[in-house]
Amino acid sequence: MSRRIVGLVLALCVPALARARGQALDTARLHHKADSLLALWREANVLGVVQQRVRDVRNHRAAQVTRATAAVRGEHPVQTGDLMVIADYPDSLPKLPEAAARAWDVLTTTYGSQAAALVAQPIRLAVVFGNREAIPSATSRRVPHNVTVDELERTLLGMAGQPKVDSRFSRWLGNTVHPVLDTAATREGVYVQLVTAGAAAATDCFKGHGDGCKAALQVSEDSQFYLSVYDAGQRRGAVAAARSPDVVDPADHARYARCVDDGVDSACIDYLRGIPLQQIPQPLNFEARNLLVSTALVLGGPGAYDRLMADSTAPVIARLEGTANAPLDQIVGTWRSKVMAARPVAIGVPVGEAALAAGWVGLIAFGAIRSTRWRLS
Amino acid sequence: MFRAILYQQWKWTRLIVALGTLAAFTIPIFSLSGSGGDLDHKAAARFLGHIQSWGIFYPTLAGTLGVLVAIGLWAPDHRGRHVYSLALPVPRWRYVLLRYVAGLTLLAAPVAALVLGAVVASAVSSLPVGLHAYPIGLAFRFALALLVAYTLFFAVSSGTARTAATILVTIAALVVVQILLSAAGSSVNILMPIANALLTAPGPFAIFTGRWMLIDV
Repeated sequence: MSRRIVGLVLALCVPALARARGQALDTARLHHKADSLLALWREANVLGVVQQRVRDVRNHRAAQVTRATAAVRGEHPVQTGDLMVIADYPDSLPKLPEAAARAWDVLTTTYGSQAAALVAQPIRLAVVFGNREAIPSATSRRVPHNVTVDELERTLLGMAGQPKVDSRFSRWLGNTVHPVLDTAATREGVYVQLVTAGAAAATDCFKGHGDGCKAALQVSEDSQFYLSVYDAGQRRGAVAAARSPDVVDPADHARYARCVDDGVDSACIDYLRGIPLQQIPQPLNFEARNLLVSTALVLGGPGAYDRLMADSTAPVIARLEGTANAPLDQIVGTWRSKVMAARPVAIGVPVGEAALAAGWVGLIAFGAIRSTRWRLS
Repeated sequence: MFRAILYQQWKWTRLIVALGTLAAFTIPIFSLSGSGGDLDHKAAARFLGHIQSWGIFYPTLAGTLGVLVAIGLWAPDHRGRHVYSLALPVPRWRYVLLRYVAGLTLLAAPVAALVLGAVVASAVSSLPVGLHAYPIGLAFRFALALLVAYTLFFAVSSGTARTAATILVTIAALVVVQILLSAAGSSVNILMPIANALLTAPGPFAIFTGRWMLIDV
């Protein structure tokens, strides 16, 4: 009897053991495959890096050759710092040296030591005349011969571009760090944003509460910022702005309707939790944040941009403080005071405009009154 | 004599002036009709857009009123072939000056009405933080625009019908030439530079452009 039982148990165990052994082999094979894929990926990665380096070296050498031979070839390059600009008709752009100097100044102020890498390649300009056909070129930007210094400066900065930033900082900022060119206009724009943002935090910031500014700028990188930045009514508005009723997922329709139609705040919060962060309306846009970064860079002085980009894993607050060598309260306070000082000039009629109107009135009225003849038709 | 001319002109233009005065008083009030006690910060952007859309009515009213009053002042003279004015014992320049100043006096009523309407509307409205009312600035711009329109068309109307006809024919000719140029496939635009010259500084109508906002940041 017992032999039968042992036999039965053995008969049951043998296939199970065989199956277990087969699974172990499968797992080992998959592990092996995964390891070989990882090795391949690493090799490909190294190859990619090497290719990039080779490309960089080649570009650098080409740039050096171009720089070294530009003057010899009679291209009359304009050089300011590391920025070299080559125009096909340099005499037609008398303001080019001034624009290049201004552009280089902006680049070094904003990006510090990284500015040189942006302008490794000389910038080429093709001057366009009204009566002459411009020679098309893939490497040069066409500029009219009567371009202003400001436009030329912007063209040069646009062609220089901006250094890449890490994904964490880019996610918060919404872009790469841009130089602030028209400071007064940018501050004015941010002032109007604070007034019209439609966010409780922005209102608090406008009233002078530093915490409101920090919340509105979202420096804490809070994924649930809508809880502190908006009040209940504003969250409802944010949901309505984020999704129109036509594109709401059928499964979310009831929650959406409870939020937008019935004004139930918990439904709004639930709905906002389900939306990707970048699709939730922000109280202040890239311009406001970029101005904050610019403020930190100015406060930080030399090497500020290098400090900003030194640790791509650090939180935004720590990076801004490191950049400015100052606490966040001071950076945000400086940012706010400059924005508030830039309140746009509203409705008032400028003196010049009023004088001009009065001048026209006087001239026309004088002409009408001085007409001496009774002219009958 | 001034009082007699003023009274005469009042009789001729009272309907235009009365309607203009009523419009000047009510436009600011209607433009702020959306702002009650419940208007909060989140509606500021929409509210500014609403105010901006009403801004078109101020220069339109100033232009229309200036043109109609200026034409209205000279229409009886043209109809009577200037016999009445020739019979008056005053030189022409004095007669024109009296007409001009009397017209200005009549136009003071719409300007005052706009000041009053704008002040009342601003006082009763509840504005979000950061927004301010500019009733006097708006009224000053309105007064200047009205003055420019009135003076220009007063000068045109004080001439002969031939003068007015010459101006109208010139404008019509420019439009016709532009249409013909466009029809011929030409990209030349002769109207735009003229419009730009008139509407931007130092053009005479530069005061009509710009921001006509009763409420702004």
